[in-house]
Parts: sequence; C-alpha cells; structure tokens
Amino acid sequence: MSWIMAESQVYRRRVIVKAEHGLHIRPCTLLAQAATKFDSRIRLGNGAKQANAKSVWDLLELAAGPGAELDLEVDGPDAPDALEHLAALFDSDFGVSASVSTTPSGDS
Amino acid sequence: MKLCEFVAAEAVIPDLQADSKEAAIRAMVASLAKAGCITPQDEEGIVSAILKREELGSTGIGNGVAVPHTKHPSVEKLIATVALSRHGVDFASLDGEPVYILFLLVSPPSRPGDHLRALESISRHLRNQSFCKFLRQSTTAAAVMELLKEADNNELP
Repeated sequence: MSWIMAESQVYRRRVIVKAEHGLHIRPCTLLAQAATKFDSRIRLGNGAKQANAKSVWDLLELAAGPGAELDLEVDGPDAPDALEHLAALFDSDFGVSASVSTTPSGDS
Repeated sequence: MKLCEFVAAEAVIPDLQADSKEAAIRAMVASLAKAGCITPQDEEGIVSAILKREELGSTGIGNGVAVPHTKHPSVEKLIATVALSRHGVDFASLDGEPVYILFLLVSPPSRPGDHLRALESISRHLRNQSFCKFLRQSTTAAAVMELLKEADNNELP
C-alpha cells in the first residue's frame, strides 16, 4: 500500500443496496473484485458494522438487506476514482438485476 | 442465525468423493433428498438452479470454502448441508484454490432475509481458522454437527 494516511483526504458517500435480495454473495464478489483494483483503502459501513470492501468475507458479514443505506469511505491515492466507480456499481445494482431476471429460480 | 438451525444433520457428507463442481453439487443435493429435506422430484430442478447460479460467478469465495446455493419454491424454510472433501474440488474459486469445505443452501424465495443471515453466519464462522481446521479434521457427520454447535455457542478458540 502506497498511500500516506496523514496526507490523504477521506471521501465519503452514502450508497443504497438496490439488490432485491440484499448484499448476497454475487454483489459482494463483484464489489470486492472492483475494490481490489484500487490502491486506496475502501471501507463500507452498515451502522456499527464495518467491512473492508476488498474482502468478500467482510462484506458478507455486513448482512445488508435490500434498501440498506451504507457508508462508503475511501482514502488513498486513487480515492476519487474509486468512490465514483464503486458508487456507480451500487447505482447500477451491480448489473445483477438483468442476470437474475433471466434465472428466476437461480437467484443471486 | 445459528448454523445448527439450518444445517440438516442427516444430510452432512463428511467424506465427499466428488472431483468436480457439478458432481459435488449433485452429491450434496442427493444427500438432502435422501435425508427427506427435499423431495426426489425436486432434486434435478434444484441441481440445475444451483449450476445456473454458478455460471453467473463461482460461489467459491476463497480460503477453500464454497457456498453453492439457490432459492427454490419447494422448500418452506432455509435448509443446508455441509460436505468435506479430503482432496479438494475445483470450484473455479475467486482465489483459484480448490475447495475443501462446502455449505450448500436452498432457501424459499419468500425469505431473502434468512438467506443473508445464513451467509453472514457461515462467513463469520468460516473466518475462524480453528473452526476451519477442526471442520476439515472431522470424519463423521456427528463430529461435524458437534463442531457447528460449538461454533454456534462461541466455544471455539
């Protein structure tokens, strides 16, 4: 990790879980894979629960249901880009809806 | 949610012989059917739905663990089984490693919250290295269930 905490600004945004079934394995996987591409430290908060957004395991433990409002917090060298990219993933519902609608019993 | 609330003891496979993702899923669903958790008529439909879900992206989430799952209207409550593979199964996992511990979940479409809570519980316990180590050392279904109970009661180191 190359960022220096003292010099980095923290970027925050409130994001909403649109996924019909909440933050289950697929959105968690897509989110972690996307977050890992950035050097910044990326945290996601669900109330008191905090997750490292680069870890599927951490994200699953948020147990964020549909409609949950989460706090996305990014700091590091590519923080603005990371924030925009990840917030857009939430906005687009991770592109999951389209896939799920073609597999009615196959879920998430 | 406690693991023992949704893992069917009679369907646990302590020594899974399957050497492919599909064979592993088939064996686990068959075990649920044999244990009476699902009807034999629904077996193929559930296998197909789980395989279809895997096509969207592997549920092998790393650390030798996979959580294949589907929603299916034939179940009234969330049910699951556990399988342990000695040699590992290629699951196209996120970290590219074989999986040794599999939790297979079938949940009713009407209860998405239960599915999330079960995932949270599985994830939380499987991060515990002691739990994973003891689980992989278990050789009987009874030992697996005993361990799940200990995990539920936070009795593990």
